Amino acid sequence: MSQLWRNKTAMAGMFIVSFFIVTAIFAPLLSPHDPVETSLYDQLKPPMWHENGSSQNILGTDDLGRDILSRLIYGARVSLVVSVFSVGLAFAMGTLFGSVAGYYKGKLDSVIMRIMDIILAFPYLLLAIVVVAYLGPSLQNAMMAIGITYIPRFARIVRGSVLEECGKDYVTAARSIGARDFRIIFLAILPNCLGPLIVQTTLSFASAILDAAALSFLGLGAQPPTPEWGAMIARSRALILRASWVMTFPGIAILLAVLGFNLFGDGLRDALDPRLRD
Amino acid sequence: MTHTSPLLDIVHLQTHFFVRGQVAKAVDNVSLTIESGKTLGLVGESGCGKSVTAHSIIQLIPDPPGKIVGGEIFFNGKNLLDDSEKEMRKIRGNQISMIFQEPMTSLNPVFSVGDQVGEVIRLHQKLSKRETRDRVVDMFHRVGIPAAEQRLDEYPHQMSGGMRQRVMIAMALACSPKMMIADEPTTALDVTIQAQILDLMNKLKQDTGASILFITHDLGVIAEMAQHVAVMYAGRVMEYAPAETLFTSPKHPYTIGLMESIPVLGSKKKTERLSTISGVVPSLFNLPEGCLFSDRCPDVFADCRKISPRQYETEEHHTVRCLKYA
Amino acid sequence: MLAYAIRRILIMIPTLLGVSVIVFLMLHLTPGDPAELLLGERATDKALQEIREHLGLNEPLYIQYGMFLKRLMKGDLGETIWTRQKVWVEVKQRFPATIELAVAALFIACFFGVTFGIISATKQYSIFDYVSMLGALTGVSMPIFWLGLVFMLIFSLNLGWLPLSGRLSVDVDLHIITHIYTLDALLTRNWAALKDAAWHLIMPAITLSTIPMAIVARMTRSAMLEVLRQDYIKTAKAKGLSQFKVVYKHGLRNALIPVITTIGLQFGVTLGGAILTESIFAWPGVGKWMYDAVMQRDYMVIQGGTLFIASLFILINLCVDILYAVINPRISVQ
Repeated sequence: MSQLWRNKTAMAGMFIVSFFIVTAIFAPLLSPHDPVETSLYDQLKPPMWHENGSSQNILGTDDLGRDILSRLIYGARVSLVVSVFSVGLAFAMGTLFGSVAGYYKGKLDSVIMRIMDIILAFPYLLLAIVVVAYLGPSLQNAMMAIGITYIPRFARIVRGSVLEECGKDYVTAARSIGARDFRIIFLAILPNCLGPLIVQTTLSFASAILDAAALSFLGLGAQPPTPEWGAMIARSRALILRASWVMTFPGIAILLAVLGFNLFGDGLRDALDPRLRD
Repeated sequence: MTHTSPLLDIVHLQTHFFVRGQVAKAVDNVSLTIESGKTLGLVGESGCGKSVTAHSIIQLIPDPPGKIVGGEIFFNGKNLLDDSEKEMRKIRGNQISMIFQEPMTSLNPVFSVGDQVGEVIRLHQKLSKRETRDRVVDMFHRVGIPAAEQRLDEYPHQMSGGMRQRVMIAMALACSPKMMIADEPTTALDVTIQAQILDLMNKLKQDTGASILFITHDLGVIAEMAQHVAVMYAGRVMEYAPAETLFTSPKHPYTIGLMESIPVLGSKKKTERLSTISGVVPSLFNLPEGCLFSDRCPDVFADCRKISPRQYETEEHHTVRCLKYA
Repeated sequence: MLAYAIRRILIMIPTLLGVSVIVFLMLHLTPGDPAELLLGERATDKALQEIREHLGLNEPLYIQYGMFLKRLMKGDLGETIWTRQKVWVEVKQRFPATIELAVAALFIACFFGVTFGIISATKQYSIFDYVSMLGALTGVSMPIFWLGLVFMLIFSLNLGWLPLSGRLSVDVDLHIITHIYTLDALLTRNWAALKDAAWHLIMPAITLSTIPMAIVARMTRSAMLEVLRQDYIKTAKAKGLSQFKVVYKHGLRNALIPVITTIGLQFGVTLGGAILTESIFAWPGVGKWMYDAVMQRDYMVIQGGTLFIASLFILINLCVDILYAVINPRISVQ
């Protein structure tokens, strides 16, 4: 019975994630309008189902006359790009650090783990905010900053797995026939932690979208006129009474996208290691 | 025949488990009796239903997915299955207590051993804190835990397996129950500790006059502990006899197979293979028609697969569920 | 126990140093002249000279770092550009507001999170379980800066039930003792002020509590499920204890161990999330102050504030570690 539920939620998650990715990739095809094209004539038009709304702008327009739906669709693209880059960065660096730490142990391990601890010593967004504040607000810097904060998650998984595998005979055997360390690590050891890595990647996508939106909301990520969901919400603050739709829809978009990845990640985690859950 | 009615009388007990639309007949038509002050050994391989039977007595079967679907369990003449949960709680730990197989995990790690034993005393008997503590120290002495006063405040992880099992026994006997169910209490212990614990249980049984339902898969242990033995297979009792008789003249082919599979030291035929019972236990979801042991039985004949045998009495107090004795 | 605590403290020190190094380096990694960055564009040459001397900006980096550490020891975190106030003074002024918010949020998160987690675990696979776990998943996925705005829209602007922002209405008179307004109102028995302060606190606290609540609920549920499967639970039942006692006395006590650790960690997360919440609700705490500083490029404040928050976070984690050892007999009795 519980299997059914887990499957359903994972399926729902996968559905949402696919929807998100497809929207992001095919944005130009799906979007009814240009997301950055302003129109003084069409300012603050309400969504289609209001009296003043029209089917021209299904979800209405913002204070610069830009179509909200189009901005949401392109926003998916921005979010996808940001998450891919930041999680990719974290994955690569984390795996590197983790395998080096676990394989060579000793001082190298201590130093690397210290660095991980220092990254983890900054609560939640603080490190990312600080990095971007100093380097200048831009989407690239935000991606890098977020990526850095995620490195420890991946490093831990890889290090743990490498340490565990190192004790096993096949590693000793490979070493004894003179296989290069690089080979041993990548071909033999890493496949063992693939499961947790995939789960962590999925869940990190969820966090990355959320964190990128938060940074953009604070003005530290996507700069205007880039359509990013968090930035859209920031702009909408002044309009909260007059045009609440400008604020509502981007938030729902963030919520759904992040929820989708979390559902999917949870489902993956249950599928790959049911012992971990109930 | 016995002159006094038995302390525990299980009649046609049926406990089934309902999983994913299927039914596992873990205990199907089991009848046993235990006299006051006597030990009944319940033997069988893993999954034969001995634990389920024990848990059914004090109604600890998790529901879902398990359910006692039929039969009666008479304790002191009263049917336990008629009791409400509240009434059962007065019986558990008080009149019938149970100890389990894994002493390492059966005690709560965050409470001291003294607290845990004291808890069962305070639950069933209105004693003051001081009196409870004294009782616990007394129990610890009786189960052979040295330096009882100090050890009261220790935590389970500070004790060895043997010590913990002694604590479990102390907990089980603290309220002077009429019956103690021991579910494989020594299986997880070293052989030397095992011997100590078994001796302790026998001694305490004599001192308190309690009955014991002793569950195990180890025939050797049964020989030491039990006056009567019931052999279970796939949820049913195959043979029931006084311990001596069972060992000197086992009747049921399954029992005989079990006895023969025990390797004997100093056997003349040194190169002989270990004797085993061929085949596997039938799935509890899909029990065969007729005798449950038929597809593994060396003495099987045609009727065995069609007729489900009852318990047939061969000698006094010795019943066998086999058509050979019909 | 003491040895364990000391070991943990020793491990903490290099981490603290590392954090200070990073904070220190950030200024130098930024493109631009550090002196100009610190004082702003309109600084006079004289002022620039002064600060270069004061901070030793012309010296090699490691000497600068040494000076930096020395100043930290004295409690000198620098001054803000705008008001020329000592950073440390400003932190002290604003910290109570953040503490009030964080504690309130954490309290809400724990209360509801633990309750829902326990009920979900004892009624596994029921409707309640599914709904609350779905809710928890939603909570973890929630952009709280958006949620705060939604709350404002509904409860302040549309329904008018709750005040929009700030900590206290202008016309309320309150005698300040601790700077934690709800506490002060309680201490001075000023019920009108208490209600006003609490009313201001509700929305930001609930917004901030969303993510920790979800995490605590999930953690509690899985910890309880894990615990209820253990053998000692069976033993407790076999003793004749009521279901209530079995779950709440034997079960919860064990399950709370990982849960309390989680709660402790969430306290740190709450501090970080405060930046977003405070800026939306104009809550005058450390978070909003940091946000304003980032907007205005006030690097002294950013530096000082980051150091403060990060150090606090490390300290909290240390306390959680020690607390864990205290409540888990397996470690403390070693």
